[in-house]
Amino acid sequence: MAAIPVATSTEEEANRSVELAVAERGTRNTRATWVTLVAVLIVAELIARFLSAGLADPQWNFSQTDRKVAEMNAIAKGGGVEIVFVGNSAVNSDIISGVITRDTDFEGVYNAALDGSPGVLTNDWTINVVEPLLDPDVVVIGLTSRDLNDGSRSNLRVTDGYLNSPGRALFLGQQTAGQKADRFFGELSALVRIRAFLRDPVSLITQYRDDIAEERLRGVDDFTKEPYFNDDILINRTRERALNDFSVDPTAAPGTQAGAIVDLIERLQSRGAEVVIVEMPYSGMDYIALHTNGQSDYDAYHATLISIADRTGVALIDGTRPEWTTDYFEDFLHLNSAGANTFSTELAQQLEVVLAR
Amino acid sequence: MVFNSLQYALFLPLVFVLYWTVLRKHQNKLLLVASYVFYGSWDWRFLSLIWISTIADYTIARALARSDDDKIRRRLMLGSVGVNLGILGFFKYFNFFADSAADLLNSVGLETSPAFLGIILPVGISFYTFQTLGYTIDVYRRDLEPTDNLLDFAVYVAFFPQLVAGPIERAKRLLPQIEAQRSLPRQDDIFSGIFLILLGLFKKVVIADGIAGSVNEAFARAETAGWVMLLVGVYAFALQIYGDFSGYSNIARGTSRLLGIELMVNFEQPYLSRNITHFWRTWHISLSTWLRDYLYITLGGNRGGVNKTYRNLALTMLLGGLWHGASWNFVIWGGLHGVYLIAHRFMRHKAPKKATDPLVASDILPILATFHLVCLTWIFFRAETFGQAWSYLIGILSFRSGAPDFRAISLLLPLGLMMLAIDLTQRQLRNQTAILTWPPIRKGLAFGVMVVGIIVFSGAAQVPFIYFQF
Repeated sequence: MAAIPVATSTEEEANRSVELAVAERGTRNTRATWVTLVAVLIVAELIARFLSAGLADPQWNFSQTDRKVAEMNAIAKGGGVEIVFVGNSAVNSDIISGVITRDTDFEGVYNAALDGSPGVLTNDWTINVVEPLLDPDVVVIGLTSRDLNDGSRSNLRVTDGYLNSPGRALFLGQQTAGQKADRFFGELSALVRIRAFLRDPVSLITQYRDDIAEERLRGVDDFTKEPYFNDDILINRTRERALNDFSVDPTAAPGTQAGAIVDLIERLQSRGAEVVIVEMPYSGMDYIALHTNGQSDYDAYHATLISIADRTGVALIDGTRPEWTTDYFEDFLHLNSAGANTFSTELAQQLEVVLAR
Repeated sequence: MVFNSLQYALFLPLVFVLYWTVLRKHQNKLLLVASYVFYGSWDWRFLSLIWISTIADYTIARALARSDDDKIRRRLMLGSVGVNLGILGFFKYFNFFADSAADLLNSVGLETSPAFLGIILPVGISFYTFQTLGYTIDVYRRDLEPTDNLLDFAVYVAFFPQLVAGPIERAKRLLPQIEAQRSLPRQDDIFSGIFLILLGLFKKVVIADGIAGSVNEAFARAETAGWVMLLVGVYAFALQIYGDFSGYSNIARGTSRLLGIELMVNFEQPYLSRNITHFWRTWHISLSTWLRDYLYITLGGNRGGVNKTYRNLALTMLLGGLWHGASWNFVIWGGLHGVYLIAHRFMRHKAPKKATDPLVASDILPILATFHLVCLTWIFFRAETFGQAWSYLIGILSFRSGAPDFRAISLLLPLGLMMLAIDLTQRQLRNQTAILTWPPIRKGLAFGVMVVGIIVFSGAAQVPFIYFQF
């Protein structure tokens, strides 16, 4: 064929001869080449060691997870807690452990929620890490509509990052040969140890610097430093990103994420823990508008929660406050400190009731 | 087992040492066992398909050689086509055609649902079926004497460096190398083989996998992202697929060279092509030559006049598209390339330069134009559905507003420049191992950068080789 084709075998042979001739010339200088190669590696290692001095040692692919594991390890030595909260960033921002401690009789309260955690991640995290470390009597699962979305790419990405983290493998004693090799070489070389930072310095420094991470969680724009509701760019970015993130497929009930929540509740119950689920607050119609099909998507999520509660026999606390304006929120989903104080106070009272304390 | 895994880092040295020491007299037996272990590590059940292909084509080719009766020879040939394309068709295209047929019936008012069978696609099936089919066609055409050694033929079919993603080798090139006694590799063979593996790993782990996240993000947001982000996403995919596939081919060639067997060059700086014909002479060369020799020429090639030549070109590229996967997006991808090739052939008035002739300044515009034509087709190749591809394309052409992905740009620029530097160096010297000609310190620096890059990027989540899905 005139249009598609290619070198003949004769040309390939000629090419091969040139390659070999080149290689022969190349081998004459191998000692100098090796010395330079080793010098480059040494320089790279020295730079990595210099940089590593100010960096955390990420094990769980997320700074918050690293921090919470360390905190829970410390708490575990003191005998655990009586009540623990799990869920995503809404649980982190909306539920203040101090308020729960102040307004209830629970001896030991810990908020173990992880930002961005959907059902599957919450299931694994609670069953394999939180419950064994803290041995709680009560587990409160705070849920938002995005937690049950099987089609959300960010849910999958966050879950993959957690499930494949070396920290989880080490914690569960399930390290692969590759992870063991990584750990071995990581102890020898800073270049290996901090390569996650070197691959993606911006996001990792952002994630592992608590002050920046806190600003992000509080909905402050990285560049403008404007609060969320004053920043149209940030709001539009949220809307754009959320388009595929906030919808529950009503035909897939219970889907993978919802199924993971059911499984989590049943396993906690089998271990003797009491479970409560909480439908977390949202900022009125602005939040509903983030769903692909608006109110009907949210209704499907709400119906799924009722179905989960009925099936497992756990209490469902409705934390939504449609009348709350943006004055209570940092962004569409996360309460500000005033909102969190109010919500936590109300939640403490409701927990006392549903747990009949 | 993939090339960029710890298992392969242990597997290859073990095979290499056994191959050249204690099992030197049984090299082909070792190669066969190693190849089956390599392939079986994905799913051992699919080894049975390789055996069926191997036994069928070995037997048919020998029968072809024994027969002078044209009718019998034709039937034997069709038998081989039936076995190979039957396997390929069932495992790769059943769901696609069942779905398309159901859609067609539904569109004329006949309600039906497709009969999906939950078929798993065996890794590399498109590559080894084409390789064995090519062998039998060569024997049928009397271009090749069939081998009477089943072991040699089984190694030819299953040779692990190129089993799952090519190059699709011709029996005329590969089989004699398998049949011959291999002598110990020279130092320069080992050195250049290791260099090819290193280069391939750098292209795959650093360049292709490094940019993969940005590609995923852009295509996931095809319906909403701004045009700058989408455009950067296409460039990023062009870089990803080239780094991924040419990196694989480099590792395959390097591995094979360590075993004393030469595989064909599969890529020759395709993005430096001055026109689309040059692109197809330098991109996935083993497939394009296969399609030329066994499909285009069988259809009549350019022997039946201009219109038939155009028809044959279009058919070849459409089927080439379908070879990649059971999806209309691949058909569109192949169709677009067919249109490009026909248009280029129509406009061509004088004998073009050779694809690998040295570049001059006046080549820059044609190279950029060709690159962008290819990028347009990558949108259909990468998108998961036609709707996604269309949204993506409309997003770019309508200059849809939206924030650029600065992270993608900050990755694309350095990784793209590194790939360009590699290609220009190779192109300048017409050689894949051109860096070996550099002065020692410069060469050491290049090796150092590659090794550091591989160390840094190798800890990320593993991204499968793109062509494994074909």
